[in-house]
Amino acid sequence: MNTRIIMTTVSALAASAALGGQSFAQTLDYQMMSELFGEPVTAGATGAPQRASDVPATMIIITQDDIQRFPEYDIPGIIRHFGGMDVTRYAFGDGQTNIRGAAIGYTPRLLVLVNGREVYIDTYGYTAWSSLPVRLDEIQQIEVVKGPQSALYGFNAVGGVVNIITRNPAQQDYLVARVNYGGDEYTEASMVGGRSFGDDFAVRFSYGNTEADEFTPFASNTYAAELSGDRYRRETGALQARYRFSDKVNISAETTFTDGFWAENTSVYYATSSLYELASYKVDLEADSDFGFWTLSAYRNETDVGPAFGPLSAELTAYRAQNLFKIGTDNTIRLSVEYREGDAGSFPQPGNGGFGYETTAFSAMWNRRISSNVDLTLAGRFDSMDWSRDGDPNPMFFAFTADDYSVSYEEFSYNAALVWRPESGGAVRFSAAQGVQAPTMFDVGFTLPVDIGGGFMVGVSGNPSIEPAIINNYEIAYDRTLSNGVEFRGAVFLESTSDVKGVFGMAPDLLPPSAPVPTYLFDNRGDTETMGVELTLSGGSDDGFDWDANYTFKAVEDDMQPFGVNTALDFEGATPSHIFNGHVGWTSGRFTADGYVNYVSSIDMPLQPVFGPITSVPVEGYTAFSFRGGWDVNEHVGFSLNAQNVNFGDGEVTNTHHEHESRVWVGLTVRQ
Amino acid sequence: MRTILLPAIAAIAAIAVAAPAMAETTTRDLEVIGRALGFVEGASGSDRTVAIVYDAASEAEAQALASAMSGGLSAGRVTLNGRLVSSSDLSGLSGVDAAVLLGSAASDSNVASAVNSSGAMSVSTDMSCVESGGCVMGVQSAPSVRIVVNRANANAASVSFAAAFAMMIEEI
Repeated sequence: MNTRIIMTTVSALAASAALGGQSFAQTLDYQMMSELFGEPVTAGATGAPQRASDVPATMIIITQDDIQRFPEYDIPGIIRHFGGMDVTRYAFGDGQTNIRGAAIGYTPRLLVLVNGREVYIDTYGYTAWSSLPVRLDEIQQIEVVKGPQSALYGFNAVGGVVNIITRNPAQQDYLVARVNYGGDEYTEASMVGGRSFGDDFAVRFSYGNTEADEFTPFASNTYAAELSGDRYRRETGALQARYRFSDKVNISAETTFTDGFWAENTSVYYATSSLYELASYKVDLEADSDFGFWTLSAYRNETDVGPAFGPLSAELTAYRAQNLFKIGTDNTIRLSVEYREGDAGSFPQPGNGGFGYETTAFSAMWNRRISSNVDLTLAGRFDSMDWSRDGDPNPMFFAFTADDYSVSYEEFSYNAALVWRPESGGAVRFSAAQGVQAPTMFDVGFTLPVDIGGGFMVGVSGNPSIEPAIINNYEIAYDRTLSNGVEFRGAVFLESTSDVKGVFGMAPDLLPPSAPVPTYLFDNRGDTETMGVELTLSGGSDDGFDWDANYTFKAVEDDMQPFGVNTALDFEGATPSHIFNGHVGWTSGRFTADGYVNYVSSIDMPLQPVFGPITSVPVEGYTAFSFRGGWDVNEHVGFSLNAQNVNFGDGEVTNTHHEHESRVWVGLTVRQ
Repeated sequence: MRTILLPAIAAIAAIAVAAPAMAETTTRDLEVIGRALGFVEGASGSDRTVAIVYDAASEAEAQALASAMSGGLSAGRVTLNGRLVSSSDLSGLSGVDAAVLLGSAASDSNVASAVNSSGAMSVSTDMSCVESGGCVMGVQSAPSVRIVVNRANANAASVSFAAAFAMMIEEI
């Protein structure tokens, strides 16, 4: 009886799926869909294509048209203008970015993807934004999904996700050449393009080179001062080919590289300049079938980073299979399985045994349209992660053997959201989520002996006993277009993190005889909780003016081990309570003019000017003004004048490493 | 800290006022219909012929829509060309890609049946046509775009849509 019921049910589901998943003969055409629905569209919230007003998460979608209006040279610069975003620029190319929390050095809470490929540095889970092999002119849209998204994206998508989508050459031919030239020896030259050849073959390419003088380091910051006179350099390239086997099946292959050198703030708040050499390879096969839309993806990231404390060389290989289909008229299902393998040689000190991890994950998402104005979305993911090390770390300095690194983690994450569109207008979202921040290669496998003077050695070590951090988020949000055309977006959230993973302080975590030398560990350092409110208003007029303003309030409570003694983390001090951003723009024919203001309230920022002593330095609140003017000579040639943070002059204190300088540049673009 | 939550929630909730507006069949509706036609499978080329099926009471409205499409109305990938068809004489449905049903034509089962049997997509801004009548698609363009597809009617008319589109609209 039971068997019969099950078989009947499975048959019914299969039949329904066959009916529902009739045709997914194209990847999402963002431009056409956006024009149809009169709003941005995305697949970033659930994996299924959705209108921005339907997504079960608080999102920001920044389109190519938006990007062109900012006096910014990189993505963190653009993101800082939006509500709920925390961006601290530690150096010219190190704009650390977080969502609803302090943008600390090597911020490890954000998952960043380019066309679905993870581009954060897997060794510590941070994003070196200058290493992204993407130029602003080739971006279709930037999607920011706020809050934990582990159920869809996996480990480390705990603060949120930034998904960068490039223009699809199969849907649109384009060619953009750009030259930027400005103060402090800033030069940027890039060319991006995409073109179809016949109905079935299309190519996208991108190349660019950027150079500039680094910001001036603070003389009181010993490590940073050593970087004085450094020049920022970033060279990137990408080549993608798409081929359509049929109306139902297509394949895409992409390779990228980044070669760069820039100053940055590390996770322990000391400054360094790092050499980055990255390469990636990715293949996607998409097939529409009677049983749903299948996506098979494989990619490999090869990462060589050379910071002051020693070289890091790592590879990440990931495989994913996903099926997206509808059952009946009201149920959208996404099923996914993923396997990934990360490997690194012994770092920063060689000879302590290479190590790595394997992760297998299963995930599912169910979106149910309960009625015409109520949607329910449930998503869950199970991750199993196994670590191993192929050699013993030097027993003269480190407490752990290779066997100690054979550890496993099994974690479940979820996202649940109810979207209600009341008759009075707008959309209300109620959401809850649990994310998992897995230990990284730094956290588990780092091995570095340090001479702290007089030949006295200490060890800095990863910790195979470290536990994943668990993040829970609860949120109520409301979006609405008011009767006068003004758009309102508001959200209230409460996010807690238990077992925060953090780096060491001044006091060793292990002493002899527990370890051969005093040892500083990566370890769990306590709990933290953030409550916040985001409010955004935007509007425009028929005479070419548009405007927007957003305000974010955050209150943080840490329950952590003592700052400075056991950890360099201080979310309570380092998170600005108030951030306000405003913008007024004007468009008339071939002219555009935009003005921006950014206010960030005061914080206390950790600082480690030399190994050991960790202090907290007050950073006063600041206001920045920026402007951009654009003139299109014709449909092919355009000029822009960009003035970024004009009131900063030769330097404003926004961090403890480098003086944040104003920058003025002119841009020339040639489009076809 | 959490005491701030309730006032904040109340402030957001207080903005949820006012009543929704009703849509009419407008050029904007036609543009939405045209863009939606771009996601119908099986069609080739960019030109689409759209029948405006009207009754006596809606003839003026039909004339206005036909006028909007005179010379071709560009809507995304496609260009719409209008053809006036009286609900009392449906012979003009032959060869059309879609039929916009106006007035009582939207509730006339014979009209919807004739459109569907011709393989064209029947569509109306009168949502009762797709919800309880014979229309394949219902469209409203204001205050925000709403597209509803009746799957049974679509199957009967042999009309199918790209799955990405199907996942972004309401199916009943």
